Amino acid sequence: MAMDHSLTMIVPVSDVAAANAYAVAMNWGPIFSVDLSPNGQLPVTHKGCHQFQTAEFVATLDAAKASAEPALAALDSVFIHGEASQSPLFETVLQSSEIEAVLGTKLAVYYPPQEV
Amino acid sequence: MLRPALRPPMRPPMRGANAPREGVGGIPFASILALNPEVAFSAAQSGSCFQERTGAGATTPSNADEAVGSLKNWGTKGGFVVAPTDAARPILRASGSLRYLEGDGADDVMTGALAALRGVAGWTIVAGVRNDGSTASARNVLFITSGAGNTRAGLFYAAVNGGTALAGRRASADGAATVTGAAHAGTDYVATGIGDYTNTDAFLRANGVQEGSNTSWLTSGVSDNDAGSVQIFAGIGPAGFLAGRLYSLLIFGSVLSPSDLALAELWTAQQMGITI
Repeated sequence: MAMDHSLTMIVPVSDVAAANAYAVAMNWGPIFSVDLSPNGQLPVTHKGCHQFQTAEFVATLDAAKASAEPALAALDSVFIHGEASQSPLFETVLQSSEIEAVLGTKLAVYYPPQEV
Repeated sequence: MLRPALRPPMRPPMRGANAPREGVGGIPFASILALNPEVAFSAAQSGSCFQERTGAGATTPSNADEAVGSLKNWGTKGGFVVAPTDAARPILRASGSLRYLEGDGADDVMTGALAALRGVAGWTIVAGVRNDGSTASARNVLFITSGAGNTRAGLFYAAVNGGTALAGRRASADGAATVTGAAHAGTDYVATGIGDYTNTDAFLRANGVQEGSNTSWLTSGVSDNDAGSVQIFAGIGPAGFLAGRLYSLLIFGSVLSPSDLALAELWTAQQMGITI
């Protein structure tokens, strides 16, 4: 199945441990790894991840988030955005009004100085 | 000054069961492998891309629009680069007969302990690449490293100048040296980096044309064995993830002759369907 949906997931840093524990249990690995903050500078306020997924997977994840299953409690604070696009949309989503409405702020990736 | 011949001599293609099936027409991939690259990645070659993150144990080929967890190295070092998590897998995309890996610029990265560029007097890196992300931060195409302060070669879009940069060192005791070139954002192009330890020179080329040089590059001698892990789509951290495309990547443990360099660059252009 084509991974033609851009999936962005973001969680406040206070919930990263729980979110990653859930992700590991789902055999995704500790995927909430991208450092985020309102201005792209320290301190990091959120952690996120991005991947391309099938439309079916995105729909399943949305349904799981909406469920009342206790094991999914860690996902209560997760921002999930799925879009039918192959183009990298991560930075676009971070600056969208949708994310501002859910998390109270737009976000940007924190990039540490590149070391060699 | 490197001035490759316009028509490089063709080498006989590799024969036998281990010869990869041709992915894109024109210069045969086998002609490139005959130059003995340590690392040779090609998204277009059949048998290169697998969905699982298990390297040699991966069995499910990636088709267009599917994730790539393991990418085969057709070069002399063998092995694979693999993604650390499912989310970190780039996607194999198709455009006509062309194929490329698409990095998401967020967390996609693949690494492999390929022991590249050890004990060599120089190297040549030729990448078919495109940066679709911001140039306000570092966007990394390739790092050959064992960690901060121990990178032998890094090819990236640098935040400092918004352009392409080549950085590295011969040995862990050396400081890093850098060569910078022009920005090529949003464009498929052939990025070539050359590090010549013997003559302490380095060159950065784009589409077969030199656009940066450093003639006091590093120290003379051969590289040590302290680094060698190959990482694509991100730099140390990993950080500085590339939002863009990687069609192919060649890493040679030598400074190629002008004719061999032209062959490698023309083959790379062929992988992207561009003319240089």
